[in-house]
Amino acid sequence: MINFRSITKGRKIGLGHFFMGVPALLLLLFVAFPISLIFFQSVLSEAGTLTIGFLEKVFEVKSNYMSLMNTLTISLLTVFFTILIGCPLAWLVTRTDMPFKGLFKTLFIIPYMIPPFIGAIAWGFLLSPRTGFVNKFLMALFNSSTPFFNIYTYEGVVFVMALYFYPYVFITVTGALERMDPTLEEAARSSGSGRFRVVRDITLPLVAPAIAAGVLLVFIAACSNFGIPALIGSEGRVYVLTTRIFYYIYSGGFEGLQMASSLSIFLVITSALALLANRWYLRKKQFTIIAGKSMRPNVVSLGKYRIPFLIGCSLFSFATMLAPLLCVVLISLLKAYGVDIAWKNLTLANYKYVLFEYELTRASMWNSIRLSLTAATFLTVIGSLIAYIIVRTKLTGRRILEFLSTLPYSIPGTVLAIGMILAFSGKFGINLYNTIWILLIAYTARYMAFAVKSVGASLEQVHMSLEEAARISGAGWGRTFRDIVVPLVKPGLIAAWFLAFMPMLRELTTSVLLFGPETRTIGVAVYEFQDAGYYESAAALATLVIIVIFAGNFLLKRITGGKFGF
Amino acid sequence: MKGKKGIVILVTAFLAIAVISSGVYAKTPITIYSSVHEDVLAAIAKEFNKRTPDVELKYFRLGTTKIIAKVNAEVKAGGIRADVVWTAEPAYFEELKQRNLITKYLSPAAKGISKLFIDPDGYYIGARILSIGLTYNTKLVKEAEAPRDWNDLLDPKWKNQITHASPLYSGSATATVTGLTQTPAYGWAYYEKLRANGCTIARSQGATQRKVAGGEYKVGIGLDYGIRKMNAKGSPIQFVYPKSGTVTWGSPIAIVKASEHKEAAQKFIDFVLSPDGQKFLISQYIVSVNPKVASPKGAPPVLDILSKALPVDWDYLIKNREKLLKRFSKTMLE
Repeated sequence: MINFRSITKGRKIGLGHFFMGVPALLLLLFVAFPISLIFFQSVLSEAGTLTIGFLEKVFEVKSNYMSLMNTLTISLLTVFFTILIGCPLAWLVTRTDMPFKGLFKTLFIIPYMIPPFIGAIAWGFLLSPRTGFVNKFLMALFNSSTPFFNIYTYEGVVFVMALYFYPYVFITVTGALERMDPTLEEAARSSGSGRFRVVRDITLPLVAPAIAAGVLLVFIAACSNFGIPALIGSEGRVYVLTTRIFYYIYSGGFEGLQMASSLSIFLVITSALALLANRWYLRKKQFTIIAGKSMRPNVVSLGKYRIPFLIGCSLFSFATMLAPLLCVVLISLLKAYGVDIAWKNLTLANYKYVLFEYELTRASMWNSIRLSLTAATFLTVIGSLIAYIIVRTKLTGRRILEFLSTLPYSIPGTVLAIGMILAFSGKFGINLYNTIWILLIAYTARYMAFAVKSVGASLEQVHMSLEEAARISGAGWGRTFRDIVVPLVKPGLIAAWFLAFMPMLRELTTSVLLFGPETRTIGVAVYEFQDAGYYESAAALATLVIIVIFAGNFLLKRITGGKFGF
Repeated sequence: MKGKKGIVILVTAFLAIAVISSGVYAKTPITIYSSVHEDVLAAIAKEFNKRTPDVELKYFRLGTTKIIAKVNAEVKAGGIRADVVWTAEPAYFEELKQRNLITKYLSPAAKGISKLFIDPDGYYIGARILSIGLTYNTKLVKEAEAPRDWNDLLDPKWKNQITHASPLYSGSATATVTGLTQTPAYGWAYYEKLRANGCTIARSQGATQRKVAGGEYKVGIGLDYGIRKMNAKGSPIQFVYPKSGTVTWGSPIAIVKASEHKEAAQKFIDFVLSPDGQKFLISQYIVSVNPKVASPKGAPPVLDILSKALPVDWDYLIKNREKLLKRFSKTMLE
């Protein structure tokens, strides 16, 4: 850690201040301000006087307690399983000689591309007690009349969440493994350590910050997710905070907003505690892995286990990604929902409708693409600067910056959207309502945490000596940042950009309250189809979105010669 | 020189803006927030804009729950940004009325529309009919065996095969629970028996339809037009008007008090209620409030539905919403 003062004592006095002041101001205006308005709601009575009535009322309801407990236990279990899935997979695709590992690297992030509510419907299709394909198949196979799985349970919610969120761990750990100094492992190997001992003693501790960053994202995502508990949990009578908050916003009338805000405070406290725990854990781990030497990762030979691992990964990909994906595609080809799956019932009419007859498809595709591209770029730049402040300086208030950057992601999208409406509808002099700007701000704020965590984890691994060397050689702060820091944390920057870009392309919960007559997004369009009962059209549009994401990814990889893209 | 050039540019710009905006504002722009399906709104807007060249109607379509969240947030941020709202159930409009957010308008086009759908104070009026009844999967249940009345669902042959939307999320499910529990013949005892027969609560009406059509449940309690629409498309699902009466109400339309274009909004409401406006609802299998408009295929005439409707006591719902939802949660969800 260096003293912040020394940064600005270079030739370009003030540049450092400027680069650090701007993100701080942006966070204050676009995060702290709207969210504090929400919390004012929960302590202001109708007459405008201060009250803790709403907070008390929230505590009185037993279901609210139960949903808090469910939120915590479900999220912790999800974290546990995402580590269990994400870390070994990341190791397999980066550090072993498993065949087709490049392909698997792409396959393993597919779950991340499917909109959650479509994913939840697909899982219902596969694992619902009576009609799920898997259950029907197993029941026929074992001649049993009782279903084997029931997705509409507490365990079902954890299952879908784990499969949905493990890419966070996978992506951050893959990034860390790729830029790890291989000599450390080589040293251990040559000192006589076995293959797995190296993993346990060297690799695992070195990627711990990356795992911690992924875990934090998973935990916060699981706490604030609405789609999965709403579509899978509610049916099994499993309630969490977000489903309770949604209930208050809708059913509670005008008082509902206050109750919802009060309940959101729990989510904010939870994520603040998670951040603190993360900090406390990382404080004891002062490892830097990148010290300016060669960075070609060390490849472990799997030997006779190559094929078993390949088969294992193929089965896992099929069961957890291709099966739900195929379900979505299958629904999109059906003439009507619920008909038998037979050739005569298949049609391309839904695609024709979505592509050529439904006027809003192209406009909403374009809106989503330009919003996601811009917001992903914005938040990567701002997030990196914030990450730099957090990791590299001792600036007072940097922990507040970290908290603020995580805040929008830790509350439900609906609550964030309401904050944006309250703040930017002209009441305080800024009127962005019904314009594309309010969506851009909301997207950037909501996914800022991804950049801060991902780039932060990369920075933790880069040793200060490299920056010091640059500055001793006369480079100013800006030059050091551009020539030393950015190239070294590039994998982290790319991961951040992608982590944010993909969910934004199909973002629903905040967009649905913020879009205007001319700024409809693709997530809203899919949701609207579903809401109106056009499941086949919804599935067709979702399939198109997934194709666009794949195509974009492929193009990016092609153009950059495999350097960018997953 | 530089300064003069600047002035010239400024003046030209002002003139250009004035010309452009005069072109735009020759038409009075009005916006409607509605949960009515996109296809219907698009058709109604097109026809209305053609007939009333001095008004330009823009619509904003979202599900009821989202519209309520949006409107409530807009109120907190200084005022509703729409001129007309057309969604949900009357209880929400009653709340809008009490908060002085909508304004009175008695449309001449309301003549002939049942009093059941008109707010006695004249603030809102039902502009499409929604009915809750029974539904079944036609692939799994023969027509002769299908439930015909509410109590048929209590038959042990439907054990664990019944689904119902959640009033915690769905406005029409709230209406269902209000209607059935406030009818002495059913009451809370009916829901207790449904629970005992293994009735599951799905999230929305959409989920209920999907689950019955997909065969996850054989029977259910559902919303009429969505089921008719799926049926028309070929899904194996059917809607049944229960013998002893459906839970029926009109989805209200009202003018926002803060609207700056009340006259244009009134013209729009007149059009929506008229047979020419209502006929667009039929394409989405929705029953019209106007008895002059024939019901969609598979639905009885509006007066037949009304003669058998179980009344919904909206006043009870407004005063006891929390109590009702709590009791429902205890009976069906915990």
